[in-house]
Amino acid sequence: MNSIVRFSDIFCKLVSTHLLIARQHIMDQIINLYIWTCCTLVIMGYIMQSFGLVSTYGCFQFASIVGAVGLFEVYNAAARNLMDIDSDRTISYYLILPARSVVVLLSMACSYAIVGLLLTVLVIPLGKLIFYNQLSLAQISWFKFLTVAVLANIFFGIFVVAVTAHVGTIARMRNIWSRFIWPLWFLGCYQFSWEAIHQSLGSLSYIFLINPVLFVMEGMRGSLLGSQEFLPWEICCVAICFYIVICWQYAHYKMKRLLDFV
Amino acid sequence: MNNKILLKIKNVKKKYATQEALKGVSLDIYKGEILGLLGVNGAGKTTLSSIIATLHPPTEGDIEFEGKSIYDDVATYRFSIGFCPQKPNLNPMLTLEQNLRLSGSYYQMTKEQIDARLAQLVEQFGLQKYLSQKAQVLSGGYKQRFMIARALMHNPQLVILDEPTVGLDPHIRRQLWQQIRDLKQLGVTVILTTHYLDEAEQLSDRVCVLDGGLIKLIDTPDKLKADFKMKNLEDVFIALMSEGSASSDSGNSADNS
Amino acid sequence: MKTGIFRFTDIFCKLVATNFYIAWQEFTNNLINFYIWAFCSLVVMGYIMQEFGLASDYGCFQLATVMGTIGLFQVYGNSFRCIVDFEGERHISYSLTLPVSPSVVFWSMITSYSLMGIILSVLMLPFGKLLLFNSFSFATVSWLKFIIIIALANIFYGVFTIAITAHVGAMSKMENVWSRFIFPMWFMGGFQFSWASIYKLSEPLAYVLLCNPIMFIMEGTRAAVLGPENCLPWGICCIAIAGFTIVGWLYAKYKMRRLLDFV
Repeated sequence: MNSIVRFSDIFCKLVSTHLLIARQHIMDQIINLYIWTCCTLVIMGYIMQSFGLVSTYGCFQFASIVGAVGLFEVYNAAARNLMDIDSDRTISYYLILPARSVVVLLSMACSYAIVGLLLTVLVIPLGKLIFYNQLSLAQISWFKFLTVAVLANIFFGIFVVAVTAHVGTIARMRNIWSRFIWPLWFLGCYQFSWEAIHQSLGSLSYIFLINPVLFVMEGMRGSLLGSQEFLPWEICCVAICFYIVICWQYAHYKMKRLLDFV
Repeated sequence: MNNKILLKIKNVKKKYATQEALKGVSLDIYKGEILGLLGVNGAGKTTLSSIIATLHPPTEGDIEFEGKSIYDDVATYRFSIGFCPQKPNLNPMLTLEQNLRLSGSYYQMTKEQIDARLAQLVEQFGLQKYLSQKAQVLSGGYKQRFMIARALMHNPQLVILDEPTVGLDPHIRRQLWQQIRDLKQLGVTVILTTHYLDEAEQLSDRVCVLDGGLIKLIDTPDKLKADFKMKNLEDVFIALMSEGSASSDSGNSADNS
Repeated sequence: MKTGIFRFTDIFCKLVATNFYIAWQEFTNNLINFYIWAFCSLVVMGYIMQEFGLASDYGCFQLATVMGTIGLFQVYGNSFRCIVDFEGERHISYSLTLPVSPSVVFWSMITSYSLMGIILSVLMLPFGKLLLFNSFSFATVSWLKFIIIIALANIFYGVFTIAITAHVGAMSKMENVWSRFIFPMWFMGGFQFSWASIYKLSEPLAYVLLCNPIMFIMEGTRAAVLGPENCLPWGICCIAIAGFTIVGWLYAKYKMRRLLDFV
């Protein structure tokens, strides 16, 4: 069988395997996601208004949560990978299959992306339920939303591999979350727009454009809320693609150093 | 033993940041033989078997399979080998049957081939009882059997077993020995890494003793016993290691597993 | 050889010292992590969210709750480490064979967790002042009330750590405990809002939230740091936290006995 066809076949089978495993805890993930989403949206959409927060902030937060789902899964997925690398090393089996190692890593990233995409889409009905009158599904540009969601989750899928490779062992995971992933998320316009930070910090706001999560958030908000207040959707997509490429290069390089595969 | 060379290892070296695990190993492995790889901790046995299994690349050197370098087309070479690492790495989230079936599918076997091969291996290794269970429930002996079964799923020509009987009860070890002998009957070439000299003596057509990342000697157990005038391989090994420590000042490189 | 209560006290102090010494090795890491978290939270809530209408003094509000939360974040990390030990090498088995009652062993763990939590919580105050500078005044801080509430809160968190460890029992269930239990307790426990604000929105919900011990910790910390206006009475918060600590301890002890089957 031609190599590319064979590699594709093995790639698809590996993705199926990863999804088969992921299916075993997908319900848990959905429940956890819904609980987190519910708490956040109720507080930001109904309670914080007594502290002066604008009445439409709930929808804003909803759009950010939709963008952040994949990022939250990064931590759990990377932690699982690291525990495997530190113990059974099931990944070693995949690395000696008759395919290039790149196929194995891409299959992992792809499966994370698919799970992330599924969870991302599932948040929308919950948001509508919580913000029944405030959130209009009519204002959602579904094409733009799906494009950003797919790109964002591909990025997060590769990010899982990059984080796994960078951290290397479960003992160092906590610091990575606290010092890297969490600030990336929280300062990546999770609770504010780039426009808001531009108003507050002026030229300093351009530093925030280094953060890939910012483009995910802005792109998601632009497609879900249909507003002109956010960074242009096209720019967000291009930026996310750029970060996908950078992240993949780094992930592959670090994984090779960590696992020393052929 | 067949005289046809299946695998030719040519001056393979492996350097890590702080040590040199293999310093230039050259070795021919014949079709259908069981080759025992022996050595103390840190001699380089697991490193060599991992390199043969293409889990890790060598720093220098080459490996030829049936006359062609494996690094010209690693993926194709992998169809011909099965690797059973020291520590079981079956996927704990899948049932054992799923582990085996998926293994067959990765190696491009059709569903019919997988069904037939699965039935054959289940009978050969006595695995029926645990097929629908996940790996966590198995004892060490059964895990090893499943690991070997998975390594054989795609009918490889060469199987690499890295310390397959470590930590197992004596009667389980004997059962696995018989299964390894059965592989030879089927024409499978086996590279067996082991600490147990009785195991190497019982099973191996030839033994290769590694020390400090180099081959110290390689020959049949009987010839070694005759040359060293010892009753068993363990005494030969001890004598060899004593010679080594008497003549050498430096310690062994650590085995990187 | 010391007898009875003197021996227990002596061993208790040594166990606390040992546990604290081990925890101290991670102190700098923990402090950096918390400072980063606090920095992000306070900058966003204190300076950026005002663009969305949030009150200009919200940063101070958030600082108080950040200090009350430190110990809760330690709960997850500490119970994670405990469970890893229970499933792995079981160092606790050695402590449980020492010539003291198991309660002394668990209280030594609780005490060391509490001490670390108190230190980290207190160190957040100067950091918050640095970030919020003119917005936040030390003059509003009632130091006695602050120390007492922080101590009570972190003792509760220490007990909570043992209770969570005993309740969860296995690594595979840990993620769900954080997502379904600790996180809602924290986020719905007045981390970003006061009890008064929720009372205005929904009285029944406000009374339901009084079942959440975190609410009393947040309210009590705010009362001590920002003054008593719009907060639950500080004294009631202290009594409630003490009550929850006792209940938590009874539960923890019961579940630990079932989990570890000690004498």
